Amino acid sequence: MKILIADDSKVMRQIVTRTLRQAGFDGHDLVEAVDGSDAFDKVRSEAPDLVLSDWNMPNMTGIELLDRLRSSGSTVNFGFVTSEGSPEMRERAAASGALFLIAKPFTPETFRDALDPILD
Amino acid sequence: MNAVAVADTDLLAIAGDMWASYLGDEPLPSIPGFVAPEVNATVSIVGGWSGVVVVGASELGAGLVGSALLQVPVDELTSTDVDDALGELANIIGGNVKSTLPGPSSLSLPVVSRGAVRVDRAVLLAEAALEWYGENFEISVWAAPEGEGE
Repeated sequence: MKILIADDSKVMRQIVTRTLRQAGFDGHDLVEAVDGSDAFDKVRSEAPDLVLSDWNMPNMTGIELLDRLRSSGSTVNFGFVTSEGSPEMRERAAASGALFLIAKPFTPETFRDALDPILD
Repeated sequence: MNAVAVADTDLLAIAGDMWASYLGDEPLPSIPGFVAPEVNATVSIVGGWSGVVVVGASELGAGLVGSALLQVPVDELTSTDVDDALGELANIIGGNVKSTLPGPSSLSLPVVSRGAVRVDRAVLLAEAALEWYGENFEISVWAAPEGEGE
């Protein structure tokens, strides 16, 4: 499967990549996007099976990305990996069609719990 | 509006969780104000509660964080890498602090700067310090003056 990791922080894209490996999700194709706008384009060009997106990003936020994807007809699997895990944000994410919201700091176990139903 | 509390111990727990998750070796509690940070990463929270969260470190300390997070030697890091790493610490701590405060509010992208951070008229709400590989890391939460940022 192909996973698109959208985060404006190179450090966090690496941490997400490392955590995927530690969680046992080896062997998937990984593609990176540096903000929401880049991610929107790469959902079109790369056709990922799953998008793991930060919430706070320049140019286009993660929630704007998700809303724009859904309004353009994309049904790509989408989950947030973000520093904010308040109930309000989880509700907002779910209302827009996100499958999960992983709050930072996370562990490989958190990734397994969220991704097992999608990547298995 | 800003008459809310974030305990120093809560801030220390948030930072400790993050260190344990991403930086491996556990830090030791240290004394805030012991060393003046050389580089600071700041995130702003605006809304139901407004203020800033600052993470400060020495240049070497920030480089050690970058090295640990990117898993490359310190001397191979660019200044952008170092700023990105310290900024991400501020983002994670800021996001977790935001979750404990009255909302709704929004969190800014991190801003990294050299030298002292001016927080004129802001009120210190909580502070914590950690020592890691001999370097001091300072974390502080400042509330905006009443009526600002709301």
